[in-house]
Amino acid sequence: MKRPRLWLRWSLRDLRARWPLVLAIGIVLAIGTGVYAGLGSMERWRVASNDASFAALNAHDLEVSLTEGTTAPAGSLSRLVEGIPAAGSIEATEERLRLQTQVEVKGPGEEPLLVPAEVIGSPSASPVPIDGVYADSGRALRAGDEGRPVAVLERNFAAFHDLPARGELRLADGNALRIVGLGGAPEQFLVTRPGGGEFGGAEAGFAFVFTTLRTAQEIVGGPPGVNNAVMLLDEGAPVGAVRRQLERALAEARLSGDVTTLSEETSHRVLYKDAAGDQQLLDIFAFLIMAGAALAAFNLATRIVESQRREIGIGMALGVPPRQLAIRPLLLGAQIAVAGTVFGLALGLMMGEIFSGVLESLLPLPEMRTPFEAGVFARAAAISLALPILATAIPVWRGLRQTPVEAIRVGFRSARGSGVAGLAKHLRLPGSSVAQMPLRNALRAPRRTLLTLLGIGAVLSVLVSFMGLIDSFDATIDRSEAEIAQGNPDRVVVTLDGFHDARTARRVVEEAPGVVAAESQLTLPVSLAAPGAEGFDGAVTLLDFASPIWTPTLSAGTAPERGGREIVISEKAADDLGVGVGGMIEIVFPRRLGSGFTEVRAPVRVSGLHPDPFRTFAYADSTAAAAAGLRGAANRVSVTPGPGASSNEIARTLFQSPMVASVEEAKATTDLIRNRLDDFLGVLRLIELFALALALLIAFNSSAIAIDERRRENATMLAFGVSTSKTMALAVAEGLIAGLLGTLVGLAGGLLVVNWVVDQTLPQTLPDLGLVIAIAPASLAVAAAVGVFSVALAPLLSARRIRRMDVPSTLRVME
Amino acid sequence: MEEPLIELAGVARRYDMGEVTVTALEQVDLRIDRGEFAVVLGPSGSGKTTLLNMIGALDSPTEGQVRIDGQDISRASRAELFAFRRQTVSFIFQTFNLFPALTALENVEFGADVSGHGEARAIARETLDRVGLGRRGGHFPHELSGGEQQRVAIARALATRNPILLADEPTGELDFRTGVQILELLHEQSHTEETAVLIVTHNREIARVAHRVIELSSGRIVSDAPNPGGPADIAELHW
Repeated sequence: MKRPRLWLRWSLRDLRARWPLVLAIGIVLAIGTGVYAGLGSMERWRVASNDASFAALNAHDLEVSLTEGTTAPAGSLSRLVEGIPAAGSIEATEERLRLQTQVEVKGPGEEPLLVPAEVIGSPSASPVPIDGVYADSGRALRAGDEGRPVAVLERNFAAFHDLPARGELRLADGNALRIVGLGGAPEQFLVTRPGGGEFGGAEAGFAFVFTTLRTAQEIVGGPPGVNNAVMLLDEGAPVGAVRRQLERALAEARLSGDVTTLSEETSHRVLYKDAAGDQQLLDIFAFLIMAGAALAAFNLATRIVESQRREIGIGMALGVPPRQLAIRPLLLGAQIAVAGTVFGLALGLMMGEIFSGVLESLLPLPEMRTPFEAGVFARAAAISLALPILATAIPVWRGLRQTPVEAIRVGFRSARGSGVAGLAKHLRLPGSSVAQMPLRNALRAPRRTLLTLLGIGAVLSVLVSFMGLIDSFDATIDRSEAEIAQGNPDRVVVTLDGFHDARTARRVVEEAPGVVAAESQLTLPVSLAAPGAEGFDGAVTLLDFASPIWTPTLSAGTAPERGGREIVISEKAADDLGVGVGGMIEIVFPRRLGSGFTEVRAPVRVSGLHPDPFRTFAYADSTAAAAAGLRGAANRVSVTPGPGASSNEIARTLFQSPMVASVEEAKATTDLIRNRLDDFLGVLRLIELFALALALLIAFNSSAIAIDERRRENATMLAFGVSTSKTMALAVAEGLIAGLLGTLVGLAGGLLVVNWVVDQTLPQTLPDLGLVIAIAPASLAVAAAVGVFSVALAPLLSARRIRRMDVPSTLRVME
Repeated sequence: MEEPLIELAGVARRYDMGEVTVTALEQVDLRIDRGEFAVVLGPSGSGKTTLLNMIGALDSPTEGQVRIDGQDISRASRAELFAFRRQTVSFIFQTFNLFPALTALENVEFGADVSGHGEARAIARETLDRVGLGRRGGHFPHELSGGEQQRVAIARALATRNPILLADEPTGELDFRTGVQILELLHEQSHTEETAVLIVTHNREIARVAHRVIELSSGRIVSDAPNPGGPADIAELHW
């Protein structure tokens, strides 16, 4: 064809006639590409923000931490660092004092908050502050604050409890500190707590208090001591070698402690690991939404081109070369592609804004970096450009493979009744021929029906998988909570500030008002390993398995034998270690040696399994304390409160006790995990909204095209006196079939995704958690409502077109 | 003996419809020369349209040979068939088959353009004038009456200036007066341009104006003879 202007003009007229559909398909694609582009940027943003924030506050390269409860004279750790052979590669060292305690702070409510806390005392006059403390409201600490009772309160805790930047807090020993600002430090970008694992979200019930080193030393009293040192190394310094030298120096100085790198720091590790792990999940969701949108766009564009099939046939009859016949539908594809790409990029930018906002509220860092990710957007744009062109090229190719006679045949929009439709004609269906029509219509065009239900199914898969994951997390935490609370739902745990005589600790707690019964326990950090399996860290609690207060449920096996080398681990731990009841594992635990501790490795037999989904919890008989050199010692007391007595009341009573570090409900750990997950679920719920919008758009478009395809059939029915409402009812019934099948596909797909995420992704991102797969009936109802009703009811939007149909001219075959 | 423009030898067309095979044409032998005005008559289902589709290379025979202007199109490649349709045959369909998004003039221009004529716009205007629609060129098909649409379809076919014009029930959708106008146009084309015109119809009255009448029944030619007494004048027709 020598007249490109004619083709262009023709194509523009096509666009004018079909712009609502082109726009709607463009928006479907835009949601897919927008979500893809928006979600695809998250990991890069998080990593960039992490990098910038850790760099801005001079996050340490190495940290020396003395064993809990031990201190060294001020200056001794700095001298130890200066004494190692590689001291020349250490740029700066700061000594710190970290204190486990409990704080009382006045919040907006009537009753003051009483929570476990850690006071971190750092020098305030360093020229290069390591692990610097920033303040985003009020002010930061300054040189003049040394020794003064002032502090910066950790901002996440303050935000959770709506605390102001000015106020006062009281420590367990009676000391009071004036709050001058709210802020944070690199180790607290993500708030975790000792024993709280990697979940973060501890800000609800744990407060970090930043003060000066001298102030912290004055709180403790006595000769100034330190228990922590942080170092910055020169660029390119051999971190591993420096670390080994420090470990040797500690041992030679008879100091018990650890040397760790920044990457081992929980906050650092989790922030980076979460960025990658969460991205895996987000990528899955982005892919699912993109796939749903792609399938829908493919289906809808195909169906538009199918409606041009007859004109392609006429062109063929006139001898127009195939490549020229392809121009017009491909131009339609290009129009959809342009609309999808333009809207997709706009939506991507908008979603980027939304997601960066969500990111800032979920993970507030001092330096947020959320630049435009050109690569991600280019990928999204390439997909949204290629898809519609492909979607139009395939039916054009199929059309051109036909003979002109087939392509030109009247009733071209109808399937030929082959394949499934051919088989279906042998089906004996109940009801009149009119009543059978919706099902027969669905069966006579199996490819189209399949594409429609796959489009709906893919989007519903996203919805179902989101809801399934949310439900599964909830069910998992519920199970953990049920296990922790079983038999004693109000149980309270008193954490001691170190190791104390078990009987004394029990007596002190038991004497507190509101306490009915108490039992001392010993909780120690432990590493569990088995040959051929990757080991992991956890905590083993030594307790009396005959205790009336609380013992773990045994889902298999028996309680550990008194005096024996036996342990009860979680079913998830047994799975991960590849052992069962009676199997042998190796544990590494601390053994007291003089004033410090040493690590001991020992084989133990798994005597039983407990059902808590968290693999970090292990239990042994109290007699095992001897192996840790802690016979008769305790660091926790498990309490049954009296009727009406709350953990807060017991905490208030025990606040003045010198040995008590904190008092909280036994289920506090699950509460903090729930908090953390709620943050993540906030992102999921946002994506869920887009999936919902997508499902509705797909339903509308499918319906609009179906009405267009069926206009002659509808006109025939109207001509035969079938009422408009009955004609609509048939369209609704057909939609209902597609919606029902799409919902089934969506449910199956969603369950598959949830299973895949749980089996493949979560073991890397949340290795400590054995997720219980569950989908709540309410979630199923929402998915069914979206899938079935939206698709079924969408034809009603076209009721006006049917009501106003010019029956004679529609029946006049063609143009 | 001069080679015929259209020659069918032992042509059969069968369609497999699941468990049954439907025979649309069987053992058809036919020769049509340049400038001939022939009518194919037959009841519904007799194979008339299939015969037209074979000659127009819209469909291919299951058996036999179709030769057009010496070229065996039953063995032609896809590309050759497209080229053949562009340069040798023109179609007029019962259902018009105009492009709804193109104006009358553009539809006709499309025909001229496809056949490779340089002055497609000028040819289109001239042809539209010839069919009496010179003033309706800017209208879209849905703005025209059925008769006007069919005249546009004829103009599109004429604008190709191809030597064979195939018309499938060209007056089937039209009233008598418009039908007669259409026949006049086709008749004129056959006489003035030496175009071979083959009209398929079940209307015996139309057959009266043809040089030759071919009758089909159940896919076979049951009679093929010149009109007894020669073609009638179009003005004598009535139905």
